[in-house]
Amino acid sequence: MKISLKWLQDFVDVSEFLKKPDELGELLTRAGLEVEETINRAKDYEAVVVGLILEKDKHPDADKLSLCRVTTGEGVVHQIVCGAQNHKTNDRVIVALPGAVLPGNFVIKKAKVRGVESGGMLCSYKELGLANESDGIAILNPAAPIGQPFAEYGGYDDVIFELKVTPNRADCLSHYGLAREIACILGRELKPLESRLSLSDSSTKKQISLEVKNSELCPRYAGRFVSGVTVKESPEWLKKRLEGVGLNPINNIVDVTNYVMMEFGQPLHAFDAKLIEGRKIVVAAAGVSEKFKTLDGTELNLQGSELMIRDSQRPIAMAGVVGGQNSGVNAETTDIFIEAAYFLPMSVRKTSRTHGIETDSAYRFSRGVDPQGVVRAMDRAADLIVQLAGGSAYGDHHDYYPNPVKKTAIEISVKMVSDRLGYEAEEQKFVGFMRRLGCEVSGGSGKYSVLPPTFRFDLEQDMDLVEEYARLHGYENIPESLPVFLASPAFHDKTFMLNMKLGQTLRGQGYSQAFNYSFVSGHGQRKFLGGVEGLKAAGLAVSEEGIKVMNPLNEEMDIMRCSLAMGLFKNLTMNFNYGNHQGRLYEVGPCFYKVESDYKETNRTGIMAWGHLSQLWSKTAEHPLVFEVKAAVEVLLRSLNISSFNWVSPQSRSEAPAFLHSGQFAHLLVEGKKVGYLGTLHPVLLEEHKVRVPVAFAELDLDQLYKGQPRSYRFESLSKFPAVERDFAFVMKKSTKVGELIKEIRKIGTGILTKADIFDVYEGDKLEKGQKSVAIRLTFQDKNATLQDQQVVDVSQKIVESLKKQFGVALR
Amino acid sequence: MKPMSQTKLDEIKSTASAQFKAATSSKSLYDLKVQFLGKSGALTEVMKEMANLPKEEKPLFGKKVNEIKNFLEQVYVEAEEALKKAEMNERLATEELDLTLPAYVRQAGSEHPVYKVIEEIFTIMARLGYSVRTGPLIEKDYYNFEALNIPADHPARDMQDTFFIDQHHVLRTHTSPIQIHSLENEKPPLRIIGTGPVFRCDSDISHLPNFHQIEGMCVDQKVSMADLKGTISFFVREFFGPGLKTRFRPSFFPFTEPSAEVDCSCPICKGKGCSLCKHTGWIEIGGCGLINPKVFYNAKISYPEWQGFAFGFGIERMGIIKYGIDDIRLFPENDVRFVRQFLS
Repeated sequence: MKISLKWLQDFVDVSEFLKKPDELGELLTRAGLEVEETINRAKDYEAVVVGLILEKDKHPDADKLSLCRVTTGEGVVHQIVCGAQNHKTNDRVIVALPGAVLPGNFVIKKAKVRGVESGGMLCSYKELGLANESDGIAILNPAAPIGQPFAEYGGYDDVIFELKVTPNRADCLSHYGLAREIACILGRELKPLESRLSLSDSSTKKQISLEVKNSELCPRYAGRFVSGVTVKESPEWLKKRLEGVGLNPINNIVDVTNYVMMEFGQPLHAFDAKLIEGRKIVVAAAGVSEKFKTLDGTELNLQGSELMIRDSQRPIAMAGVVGGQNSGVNAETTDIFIEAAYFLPMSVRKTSRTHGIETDSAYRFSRGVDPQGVVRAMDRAADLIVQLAGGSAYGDHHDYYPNPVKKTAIEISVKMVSDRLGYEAEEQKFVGFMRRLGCEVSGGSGKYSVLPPTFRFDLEQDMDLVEEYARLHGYENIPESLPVFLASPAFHDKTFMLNMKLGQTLRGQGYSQAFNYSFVSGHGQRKFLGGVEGLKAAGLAVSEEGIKVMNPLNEEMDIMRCSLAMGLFKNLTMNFNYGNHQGRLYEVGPCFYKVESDYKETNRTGIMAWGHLSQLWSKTAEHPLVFEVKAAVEVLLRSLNISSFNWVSPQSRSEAPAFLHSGQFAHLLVEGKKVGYLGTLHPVLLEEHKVRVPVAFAELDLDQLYKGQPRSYRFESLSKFPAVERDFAFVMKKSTKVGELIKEIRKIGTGILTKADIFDVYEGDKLEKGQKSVAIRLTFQDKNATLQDQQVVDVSQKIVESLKKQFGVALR
Repeated sequence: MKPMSQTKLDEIKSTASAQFKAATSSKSLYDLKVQFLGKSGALTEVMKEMANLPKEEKPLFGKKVNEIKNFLEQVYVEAEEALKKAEMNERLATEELDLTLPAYVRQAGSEHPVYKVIEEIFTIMARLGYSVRTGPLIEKDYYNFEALNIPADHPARDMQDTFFIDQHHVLRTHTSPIQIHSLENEKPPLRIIGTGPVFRCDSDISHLPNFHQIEGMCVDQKVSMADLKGTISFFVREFFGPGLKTRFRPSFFPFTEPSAEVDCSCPICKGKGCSLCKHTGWIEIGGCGLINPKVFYNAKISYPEWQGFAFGFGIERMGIIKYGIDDIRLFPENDVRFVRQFLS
């Protein structure tokens, strides 16, 4: 909200801050009314003054330039070179002297122009930032006082504060309200308000009748009739004040209602009285599906909950929100009805939100307008209208106010204030502060009853007064201490801690952490995953129907994600485009699904690798990248002390999500349950995104992996006897899964087999087509004795026999 | 002894020792050893002649042959040692590596700066006895607003642009609902840190629609504004480093009373004024206050028997200030060149 310093001066003496507005800004900020920006036009026009051209000659060396001698008063004469043509001797002009900094950071200095000394510049309005186009320099009124600072002459010596008013301080949404706050902060008196309104003998009530049908939503409604006005442009001073605080002048009647709103914070509405059908105002709820056209011509379909101002036929204004097109002030208006009311804040807010209409009026009403100030504001407007538009204000105004708003007194002890603030609050100070705030204070000996003023909607309970004390005493004066705690050892959130541990493990594997938005494009996700079957088949929690965001920012963020894959893939493509041709990323975060109408969140990790890490100068063998991701997953599982897991190829290749290579894809089983998948990204997808390196990805359900964590460790004794190694090479069908083979070997070797490592896989010319050879090194070791050769031979034989039988392998 | 045999032996001795010494590789030296000292070598051949000698000459001849054999074996050992040494020197020379070539890097990954900040704050606050909590991201209207004293149709709702899932569910706009879950499910005294992603319907050069917050709550029998100020000042000094000042300004949050906004002196310019602090010397880092009795009432915690304070910070903002990150939009991009800068 914009506040004019000069306007404040109408109500409280702040003259000392005109020259140092930042000090007042700091004062307000420290009192909880944050000044976000201070616009000080006077500062923009420093060293810009009114001058008089004494002589105008031709520049000796340039036809298009003139050489002027200009006085800025007190006998001071400047020689100035000027490029404009529209000035002559004895013109009064605007002179920017050396030291001035014009808009656009244009610094004025003494300079030589075509060999002639020039001590300043004669300005156009454009150069002063006051017009978009200018025809030559500005020629001022012959009465312009020579030497007067231009800011003062032009009325640009005001300071405008951009104030951030929190929703609880509706009382500060006006100049009078803020002046009242400043008076309180500084301990000053407000200037007395004058009213010069003279009323005619005629009766408002006889002109327009009033009926309030809903006193709950409209506790107070006042109105005054003014006849014989002339609608025209407002005078300069009024337009300037409105423009200064960011409002566009419209006509004198509307401008006055806006002016009074900015002055007292009371929104007003002026009806063209002749357009009020039946000469009757009814305050009542809208009819269901009733139509209403606002001032700017927007047609609304009413729902029935809105409080409306109606005449005998139709709605003519949406109470506190916006006026109707059918009854507004226009060029032909002669009689007006000024409305001033107190509408219930929540009702106005609801109506304004429902229809998406945000007006200065609705903003103030929904935060709370002082019910006691209604008539004062109405009469201030009537006074100004009579002054600026002529006409006569009728007496006998309406003021429907059956149940005057009463505040409840707050009981409070000074000790309580001290306790909550952590320092000794002084009793005298407390009483003084409360009175300065406009509260009625009674009581004594540390215990008081405090009745807040009606304009302070936020003062309801003792803690509110504690804040007021702290605020006026200064937050900077609150000492610092550490609280005395009762011992309360508590657990950290398990998932948080495990996520942290998981992150360490993955970072140890070279993966960096990513964070992506929780919402994605519903369309994009469907296309990327090719439906949710692939995730479901991998044991991940997911629902057919996703969770949509009702009001997404755009369609790229319209559904809650059900997988981490797409986000990480986007990160990868962006990275690749930036020349990061290899990278490792992981993300730990929630995915979302529905169970009937319940929203569920599931903790997942996604692990993505692209490009081989090998250095260009040292060529290393390139294994399929997916095994690197597999390694990361297995290290992760071991770090969670999970040793019982296996990888299985899915029953059908169609179980792979669409973004994966259907032939390079596996499910992870932990203790017999599916908990995720691993695979290489689909070549077509990589082609589409011009990613020219291999990409592998795994996604795991952490909720399942975290079950029973932390798993306890159990020591196993170590063998002190030598280990024996035996190598075997088996030939088998290409489709035989080595994982199955190893599982069988382990089963049979139980007891003395400690390791079964693959050290070679061969497919090629030396074998029949469709065959592969797998070389396995078996390590045997007994815990209790040195192994006898025969034992190793026996077990090895058993293993070979079983593999032959189960998988049809042959020893090579 | 026949002079011929004697001559032969001497010849073998001198030839062999000369050739042993002249050998240029272990392999050729070994071949020479076989040639002279092997089973069918020169010396063995001479030995065969011993059979033809008269009986009395045999011992002398045998002795002589043994002497030569021992001598040659000695020469061989020395030659072999010299050769091995030379060969090793040669190998070391040829195996010279240029260690200024790039290292074969298998670097650890980095933590995302958002989580780095979260973990740092968590670690600091854990020292004061705070334990960490999380909560759902899709939150009931009640927990996100009502319980926090933000009723429907209250202007305070305008302070947070909200994403709705349905009429009764929102994407949480702050981490404060975690406080309510904790108040409902645990018994005071409580000292908790709540953290995680939050959402606001707002996206521009300085706002992300999905960002992170961290929240602290202390509920005990006697808790004051001074305690709150002391706690936050401690935290700010620990997080940003010593010498930083904090400033408290009155503000408004429906769930705290009194409420304050916390500024810290700009860590970039140390309060002199720069573009980060918009030339004010101060940077807003979060909000705080004493817990509004209405919040306790909603959560059915007996007040004033139990009192408390709460505070909240925006994580991205803390990262921007601490690490000097100049664009908030870098956070969700996950450019490895960005994330890798936070290697720890």
